[in-house]
Amino acid sequence: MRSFIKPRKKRLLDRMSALWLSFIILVSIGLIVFGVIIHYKSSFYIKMLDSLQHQNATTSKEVTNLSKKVMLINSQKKIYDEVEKTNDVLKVSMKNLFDLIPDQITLTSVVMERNSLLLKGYSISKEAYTLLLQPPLKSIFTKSEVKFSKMKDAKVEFESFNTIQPQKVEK
Amino acid sequence: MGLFKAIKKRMTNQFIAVIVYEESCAIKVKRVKKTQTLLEETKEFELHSKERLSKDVITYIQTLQEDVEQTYIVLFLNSYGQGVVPSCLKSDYKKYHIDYNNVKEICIDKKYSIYASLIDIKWAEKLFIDTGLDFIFSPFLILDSLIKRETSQDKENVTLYMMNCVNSITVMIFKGGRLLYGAFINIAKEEDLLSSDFESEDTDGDSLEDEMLEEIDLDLEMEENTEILDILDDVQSDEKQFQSTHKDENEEVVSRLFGQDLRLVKYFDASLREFYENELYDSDFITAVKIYDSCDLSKEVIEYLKEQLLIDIKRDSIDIHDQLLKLAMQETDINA
Repeated sequence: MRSFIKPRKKRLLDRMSALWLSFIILVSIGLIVFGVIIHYKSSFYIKMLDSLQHQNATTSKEVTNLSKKVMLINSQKKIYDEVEKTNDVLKVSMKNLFDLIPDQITLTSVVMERNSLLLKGYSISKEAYTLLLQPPLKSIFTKSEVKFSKMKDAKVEFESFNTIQPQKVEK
Repeated sequence: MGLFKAIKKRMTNQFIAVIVYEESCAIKVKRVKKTQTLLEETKEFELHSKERLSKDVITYIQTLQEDVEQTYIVLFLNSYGQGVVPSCLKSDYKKYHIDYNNVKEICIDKKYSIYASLIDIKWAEKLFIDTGLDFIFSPFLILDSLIKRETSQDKENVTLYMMNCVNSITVMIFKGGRLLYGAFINIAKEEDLLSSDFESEDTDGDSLEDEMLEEIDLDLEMEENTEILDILDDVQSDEKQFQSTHKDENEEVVSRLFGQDLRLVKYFDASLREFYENELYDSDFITAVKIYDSCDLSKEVIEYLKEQLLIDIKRDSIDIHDQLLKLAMQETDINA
């Protein structure tokens, strides 16, 4: 500095140009900020959409899994129902069977299958069997075969094999 | 800041150099863009007082400022309250009887300092209160920049440099790169401090020369310099001749001088006497003279100076306005 005073500070632009320039700068800053906000918001929404789609996919997967499970449970229920039904029927049949057995006859073994019934036991006499047990068995089963064998104590051991012909389903 | 400077360099910059004289004000305008000069104009206005710029000047400068935002106003300081001290130390100011607290000083090359009184700086700022002011340059600074451009600077030579402006002269005496003496003299008005009748001044001049020779004699005794002894012998013999022939011529020359020219030689003599007589200054015999002339010194003055100093005088024409503009451009780092 070789002058006795310091030079005044100079403006780069005149007042009007500075005003215009500051206005333009302000507007552009505003636009940039707006753009940035829009960009962030859109990217935020895109991310949200992505996550939602992902969630949707997992949910639908879960839904199919669940429906599969439901189907399985349904089929299990069906089976259960069937089993229960069958059991009920069986129970009734067993009850009926035991109801059928008169006091003169003692059962030693009962083998019940879907279409057959094998009864082993002994009776006080052959007649007792034919009179008391044979008729109900015959009315139930289509075929009823019986084998007798004599026991030491005047009792008769019998082995009755009864089958039922499956009914033909009419189409 | 770098960006600001780069932009500024590419913009249009305007420099207004102002020199305020007693009754007029000379203005030079230079408008530059990059390295191109767009406008160069010189105008002169009348002034009623040195204390106030006329309306015309203010209007002219303000119109220029309206055109270009980057306008620098430069003032050439030509008031009395300034000078130069051959040192940058505060303590040396006391030696030269200058109140350091009331001046603004600028150290040049860590060798010497130029100063201006705070009153004068305030006067300048007040003068330009309507337009603003950016630079106040001392005439010593201009003379210094002119001297620095000189290619041949003999280290042993004691050179007197003088810058002549319309209403002032600035004198600097250098020995090599060392400043021995400097003075600024306003020659527009008669000043009590230096004023005396030129006739008596003339006789004083004779005695001054004698004293000068005596002084050199003393120096020689101490230094035993035979070379200067020879020169001195020459000077003394020349002196004798001058006493008979040139003295008459000198008087004849002086008799032809009047007004400002007369004041110029009178004050020049006085300052030279001050240089030789005042013990504060490291006086030495002047071996070369260079005048930077901005307003065509009259032949009579040059002739008188030649007779008085007994050496050949080199003279260069300069324009103070251009020097002011150049300095301002250097300060603002703008080159055109």
